[in-house]
Amino acid sequence: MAEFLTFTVVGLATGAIYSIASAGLVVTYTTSGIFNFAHGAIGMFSAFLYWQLRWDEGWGGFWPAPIALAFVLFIAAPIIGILLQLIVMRGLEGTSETTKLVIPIAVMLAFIGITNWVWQGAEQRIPKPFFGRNAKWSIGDTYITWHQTIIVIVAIVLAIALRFLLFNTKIGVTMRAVVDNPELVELNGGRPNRSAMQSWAIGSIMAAIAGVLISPLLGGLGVLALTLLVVNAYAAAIFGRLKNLPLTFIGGLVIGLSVSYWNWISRTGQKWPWLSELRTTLPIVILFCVLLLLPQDRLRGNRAGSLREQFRVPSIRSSILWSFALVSLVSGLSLIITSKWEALLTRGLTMAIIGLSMVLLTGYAGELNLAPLAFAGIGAIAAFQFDVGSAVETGPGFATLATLLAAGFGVLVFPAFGLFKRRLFVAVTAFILLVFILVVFFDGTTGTGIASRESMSLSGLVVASLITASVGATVALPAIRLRGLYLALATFAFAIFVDKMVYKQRETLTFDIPFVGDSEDLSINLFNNGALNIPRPKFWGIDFGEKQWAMLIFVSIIFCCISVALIQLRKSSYGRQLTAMKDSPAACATLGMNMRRLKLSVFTLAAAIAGFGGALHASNLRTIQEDYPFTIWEGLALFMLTVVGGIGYVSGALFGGIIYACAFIVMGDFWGKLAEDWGSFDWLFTFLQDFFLLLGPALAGIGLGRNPSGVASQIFDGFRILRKKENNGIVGVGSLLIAFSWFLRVIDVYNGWVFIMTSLPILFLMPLLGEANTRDRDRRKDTSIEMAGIDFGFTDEFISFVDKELSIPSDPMWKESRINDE
Amino acid sequence: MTNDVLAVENISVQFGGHIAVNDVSLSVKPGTITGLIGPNGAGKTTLFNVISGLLTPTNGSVYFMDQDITNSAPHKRARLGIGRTFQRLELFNSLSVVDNIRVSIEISNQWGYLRPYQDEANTNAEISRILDITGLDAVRNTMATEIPTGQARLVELARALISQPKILLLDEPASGQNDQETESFGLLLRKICDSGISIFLVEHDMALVMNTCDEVNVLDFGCIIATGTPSEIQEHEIVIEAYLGAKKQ
Repeated sequence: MAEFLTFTVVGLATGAIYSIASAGLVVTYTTSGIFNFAHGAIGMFSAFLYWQLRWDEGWGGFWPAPIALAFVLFIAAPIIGILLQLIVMRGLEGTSETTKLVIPIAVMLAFIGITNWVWQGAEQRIPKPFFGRNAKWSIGDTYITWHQTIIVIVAIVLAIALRFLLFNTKIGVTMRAVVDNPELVELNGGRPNRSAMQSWAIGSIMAAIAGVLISPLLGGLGVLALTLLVVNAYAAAIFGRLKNLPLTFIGGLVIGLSVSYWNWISRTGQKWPWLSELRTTLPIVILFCVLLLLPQDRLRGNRAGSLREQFRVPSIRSSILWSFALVSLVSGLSLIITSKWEALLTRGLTMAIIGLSMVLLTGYAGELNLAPLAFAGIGAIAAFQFDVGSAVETGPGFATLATLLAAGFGVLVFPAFGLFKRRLFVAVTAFILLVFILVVFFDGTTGTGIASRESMSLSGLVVASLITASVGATVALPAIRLRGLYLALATFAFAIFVDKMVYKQRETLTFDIPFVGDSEDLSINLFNNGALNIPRPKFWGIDFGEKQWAMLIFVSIIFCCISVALIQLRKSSYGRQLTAMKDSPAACATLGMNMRRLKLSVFTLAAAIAGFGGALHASNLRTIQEDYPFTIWEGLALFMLTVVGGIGYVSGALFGGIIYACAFIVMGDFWGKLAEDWGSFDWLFTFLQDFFLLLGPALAGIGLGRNPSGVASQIFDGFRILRKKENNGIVGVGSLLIAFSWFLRVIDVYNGWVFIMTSLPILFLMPLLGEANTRDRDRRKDTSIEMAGIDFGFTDEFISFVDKELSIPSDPMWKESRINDE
Repeated sequence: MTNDVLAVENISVQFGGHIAVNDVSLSVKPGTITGLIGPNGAGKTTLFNVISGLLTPTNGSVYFMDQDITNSAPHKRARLGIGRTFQRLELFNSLSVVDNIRVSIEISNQWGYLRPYQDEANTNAEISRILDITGLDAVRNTMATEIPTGQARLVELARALISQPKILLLDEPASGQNDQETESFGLLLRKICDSGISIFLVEHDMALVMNTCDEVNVLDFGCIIATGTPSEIQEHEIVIEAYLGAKKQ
């Protein structure tokens, strides 16, 4: 009984913190319509700040608790909230759900970056509970610390105060009204911007309270652990459907108690080792379940017309031309760059392939998925386990599994392409045969793994895609009834689940495939040593393991093939239906579309692409670890940068992948090198190096509010002017100059930096010169009527032009009579 | 067993404490144009949402060709033959006018029971015919976001029409059109009706309703207050009171 009470007290205290954090989230959401993904990060940052003021021996430090608390909660936190609203969130009006989600994610990454920057080093930072660790009182044999008591009291007081504020005060009513119709609030004398700022300040204070209260319970401050702990509060917020405060508080308590009781039952995870991480994942599992059980809003109508995001569809011809250009560029670069840069570029391109899955799912179909790298990670693990690994005992069941997966994929995806009855049967059968031939004839079906080889096979990549596709379909099946933010949160929950339960899994799992083999057809040790070694592919006599340049060209070709296929898909009936579903689900339903099946097919297809990209990415890296490169944080960063690039374009995926993998590292390296070379400016260059490495991606995301259609489209728009006939000369001369510079680099006349310094300015000058040239021609062609008699004379040609424009008959007699009349 | 295309019986819709539609019963006969009029907020669009399945009623039943469809999903109702347009435009704004119509055929082909246009040439011919009768041929390749509201409503009509519905629910289709356009729109509706498609029309333009409809229902504060021919409705005291706020002198 004493044990039960102890765990109940612990659960109540943790639950109360979740309640406080989630209430802050609800306040921000109900008053601004933005789900603040950065909520946990603000709590984390506040906890670090409080620790700094209270216990650090450097700057700050040793402030009395009330003053430090007052500073963090009533000065720093509200200022953070107000600045966020003023600088970032205010610019989100009229943007899509994707943009509204991405910018808070960028803010979250910014806080993580800033905290890592300010509080560097491996120093142990251990905050103490209020009144110390030994200040406690007891009920029977159960001890309750004063810290726990304070947590519960604070939660109760805040619950009452918030309810009173939002429903019984003018400020609260105005804050709630602003989210419905800010213009109407303004017309009635309210000040929407001030109300929004107030709500962000309150939300920020709540996050800070949660951060400060929870940090002593963790033992030590950790950036990601603290951020993720407050993320657990999302489940409580969803419990109250993001609007009901009492239910939100109850949700927080339920989650806290569930985790505590699970720890009690499972003896903190020791009783069932393969479920050991469930104690940290339980709130996320609850979040997923609550999302699935919640009644959904009815089908939403059209918003695309009023949105600032607009994506054009490129032609197949231009996409093929650009593909050739990309592969040529990559091939050309591979001759002049070092293997380090080849590896980085390859990394960027494999990430871009994963990004293409987001273009399909979010850009084309409008379905939010915050777990792109979770699917990619599953692809990588599948490729390892079923292709090259030695841990899997596949036995004869493997070929059966592969054909079953192929059949499932065919049945789920092919009907969406208009294949029915006989055609569907033929297509699925052909696909199954293809996979079967690949697996059986090229890999064999017996032994350990497909074969414990030293290279990845083509069939390994195909099987990895199929396995990821089946996982995607399994996740999507319950989640496809969700839309918008709820779907994003469900996929986010899935990503955290994979992070904790798959990447950290050390136990061997066995499965029985019915009717095949013995009772243990598949025996998998998912991540046995916390790292998986995945070799490079070896096809058609090319060993991609030895030749980095070959790997680079190979992935660039793969990227282009998938890109062209996606553009073709977007232009097909299937693509039009995806676009229609994104634009107006309500109209689609009333035209007879079964959106669940369409969503299931697109989820499956996108997961397959992500799995394929993940397997390639892992193969390029050669090793994947539990905390690199497929974690939730990296997934969020890639998602954010793809949206920044332009989620509706394949070029957006390319931008996201390259920027994520290379650009910030290049910038960091550049400033780092300068810091080495220029010792006296070391402080400045080190600052810039840290700035680009830690804050670059986040700042790119925050800038999205200004250009929600993405950067890639702007770049392509800039170069579009060069397609005009009159600019052929500029393109020709520019290309020749760049080619010449490249040639000089190839024959080692100068190094890579000189090549970059000569070719980049030419590249960027070309569209500028083209624009100037076109403008000049247009001006010469332009005959503005008001300048007649000033810039040019009244020629017969001009007079007949004016007559035509004004619909005046050209009969001279008529004109003369009009003049006489007047 | 009735011969009504559509019948709603005792439909009520409640949002929290607000009753949007209160015990409404009405029917649409085959080959007719039936009007539904009423002041703003009377519950007309709510009733349309209930019929097309976008909203579940608190009480009552919806019958289509004597089949109870109250609990059917919207896409299943559409496949049975219920087409609709929306008061607030629901175009696919990322697509051109012709693609808005084409996607409707593609949805019917892919998900419908009939799959009416399997042949590509047949599909293109039908699209051209629909563009022609709705007068949208000149803007066929224009993006849906770039056409004026009046034409956008015609695109919605064309999109619904091409899926070969048995009944069309038109929610304020003439708003955004000028007098001349409204007049020719009335003729178009009559032409559609003569081809065998029943029409259930919500409209504020009284001239269009009175000149086009065979029967008119009047909804006020969620309740049906009158049903009859256009001339009967024009003389109906309660209707005049609901619209003008005073009894006819």
